[in-house]
Amino acid sequence: MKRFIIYLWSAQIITALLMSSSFADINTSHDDDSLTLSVITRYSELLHKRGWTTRIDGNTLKAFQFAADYNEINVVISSHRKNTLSTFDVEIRKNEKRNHHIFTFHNNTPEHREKAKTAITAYLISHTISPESATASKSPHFVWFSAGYSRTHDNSEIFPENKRGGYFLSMNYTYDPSRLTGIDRVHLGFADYMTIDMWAVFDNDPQNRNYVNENFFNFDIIFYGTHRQAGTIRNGFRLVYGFYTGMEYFRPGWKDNILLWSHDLYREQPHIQYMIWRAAGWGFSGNWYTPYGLYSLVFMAGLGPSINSSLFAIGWGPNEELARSPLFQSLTGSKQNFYYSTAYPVSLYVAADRLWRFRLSIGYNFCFFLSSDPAIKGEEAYDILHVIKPSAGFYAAENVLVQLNYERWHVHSMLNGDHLSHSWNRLCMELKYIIR
Amino acid sequence: MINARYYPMKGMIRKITLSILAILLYFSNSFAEEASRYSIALFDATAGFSILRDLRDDGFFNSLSTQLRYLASNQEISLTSGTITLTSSLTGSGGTETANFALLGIDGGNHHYRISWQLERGSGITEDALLRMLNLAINSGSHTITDAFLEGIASQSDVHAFTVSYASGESESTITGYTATIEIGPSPRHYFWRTTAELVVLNSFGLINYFINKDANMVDWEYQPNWEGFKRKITDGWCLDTNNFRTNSLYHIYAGIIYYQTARSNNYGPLASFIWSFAGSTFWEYIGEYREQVSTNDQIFTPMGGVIFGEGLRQLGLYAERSMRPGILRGFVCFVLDPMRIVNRQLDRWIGDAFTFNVSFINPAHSIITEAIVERTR
Repeated sequence: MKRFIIYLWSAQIITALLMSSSFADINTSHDDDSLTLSVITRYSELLHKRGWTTRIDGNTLKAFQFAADYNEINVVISSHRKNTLSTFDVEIRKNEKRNHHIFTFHNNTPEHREKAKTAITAYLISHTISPESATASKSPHFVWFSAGYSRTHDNSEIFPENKRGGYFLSMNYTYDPSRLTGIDRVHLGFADYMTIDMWAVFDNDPQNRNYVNENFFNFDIIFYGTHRQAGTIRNGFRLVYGFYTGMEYFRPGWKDNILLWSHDLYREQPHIQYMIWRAAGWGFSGNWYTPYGLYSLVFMAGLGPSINSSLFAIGWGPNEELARSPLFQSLTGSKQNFYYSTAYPVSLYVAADRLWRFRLSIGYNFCFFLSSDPAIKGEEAYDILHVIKPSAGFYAAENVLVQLNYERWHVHSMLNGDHLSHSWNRLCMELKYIIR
Repeated sequence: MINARYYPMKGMIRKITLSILAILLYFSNSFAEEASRYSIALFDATAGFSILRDLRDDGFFNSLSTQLRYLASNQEISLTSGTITLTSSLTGSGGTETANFALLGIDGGNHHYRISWQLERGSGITEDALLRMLNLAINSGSHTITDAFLEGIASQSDVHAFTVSYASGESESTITGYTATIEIGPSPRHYFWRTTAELVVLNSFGLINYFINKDANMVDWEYQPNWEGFKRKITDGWCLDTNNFRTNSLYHIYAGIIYYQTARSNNYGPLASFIWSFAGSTFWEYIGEYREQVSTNDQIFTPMGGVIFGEGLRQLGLYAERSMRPGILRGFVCFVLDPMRIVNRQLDRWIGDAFTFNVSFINPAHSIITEAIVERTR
């Protein structure tokens, strides 16, 4: 009996609590929270159809879209319930442009849920499809340009000869929208990350016009990768890794008739030229932010078809050309210094940036070219390229870097068991302007 | 008789296009099932402008499987559940005539609505716009028209503006109407044929250049320009060619870039554009250089260079357009980086059009009277 009375009292207390106005007027209810989630989910599905990536976290939604730019939407919905009315405070921020609206709905009718869902979703969509905010406020494009003076010395002595040099122009473009998301892990699809590097040297000596006018470009595009990010700009890291495809090209001259065998200088001067399609490559780019500077590591390895020169196709007289390997004979009439190969390029780059106002870096490029012309039997060739590139720079201003680069190139060629090696040097002073 | 001035297409092409549009509509979103629940009343309010009757006579509404009624000028417009009333009228004169359309109906939430839009007389998107609005009205049968908009049109990338208005005050928030702008560009079929035509034209330019430098190219000629020669070319297969380094590593890649950017600017994605780039290269190797053996290295470097450089330069071009001030320099930079985007964007502007439609929720009693008065006094 005593136990029965206790149960009765308990039941009375719970009933009283449920019926009291203080309990009924609590600020939010499970029903409204569930409605908020349902609105956000529906909005998220619509954004997906329009090409956005979304992340839902409770009553908030973050969406971003790359598509050659970076657009971001942040939505926060908070609900408040009083008696039979529920209010929803909806805030949408698209590319920093903020819009805000308070919706009120009756919560005691069966239709209110659908009505609220439609009205709030329509509001959110109206601020998503708005042409005036088509331009994103955050730019995912990172560019620098540089200009300077470059000298190449065609033998292994460490300092370039004074009289051979040219004006140097260079640019780097990186499309990197995922770093703006602020999200710890983002999947990257085709072209969600890409880098373009190019440089060229233009001769300043009229006597040697077109001599050692090196030109280079490298395009890399991610086709499946991951972005990771944690911490802050003062103490954090940011990584991008995944599978890339890309093309790399280097040539020590532009015109065929200057570069190739008909020209005395290039007939005599050892050189390398190549064009590689890195059909499949794996790349890693890491940045570590510390109070003492920014540290970077970039690595790329891959393989793919290529065309490249050999030291064995240099120094031939017109009569000796007929004695070339069939690897080169296949190009009879064209007088070319290249053979078809499979290339295995590897590159590594390490930098310490913003150490007070200094930047120090060192890069290493390696490539193994192995002849692979199926039509030529019994002839074998390979070339190995090493380039080591230390550099030191000083920030004259926030976006202006004065830098001195040194490059040591080494090529080792093999043709049917014979070996040849050659090294040369390049020194470059440049003024780099960084656009963020 | 179809008013020839109104329609940009005539005869068989027009009938085929309408049939295709109707078939597409029939198979979309269980549309036929929804449509069969409706009857559609058509009313041309302006004498001498019988666009809806012409469309009916042309079979435009046949695929909807609905009861169709054409209202004479002395018949009453009535708004009942299960009926969509479609009206047309003409305003303006001379070269500035505007065709006005309105759709009246009741959605699944029992809201009386009016969808209205205007187009220039003779606009090429008249049928497209009509189909989209009918689709919207019919899909609203099982829920509200706003839901039909959100689930259907709002997720499409060609919707470029959308504003919604709410009743304000302390009472419940309700949508009183909304406006959206849809840009109707060329159809996928149009893009397909335009890409094909542009690749043929680009290859023709290449061929002209090839024959200007005929003496240099003759060294690679192996086949007679006849059917026997072509058969030999097919059976000989592919080989690594003997062209110089610059041709192989720069010119072919540039061709790939242009092929890729042509497809990309015709609304194709990266993968499809790569396939187009490969197709462009194959066309060149088999048809352009018809007297030479097909080059394996060209078939690799042209499309792959197209994807890698083409996509990179395209994004660089978009960046330049976004960050530089409008002017000759910006135009020049964008053209250099992605010429086909500039060309095709201009073509899209000439071909495409946009229309803005307005949805308003109306008082049932008021709506019929207003509509009748407004339309008949035009």
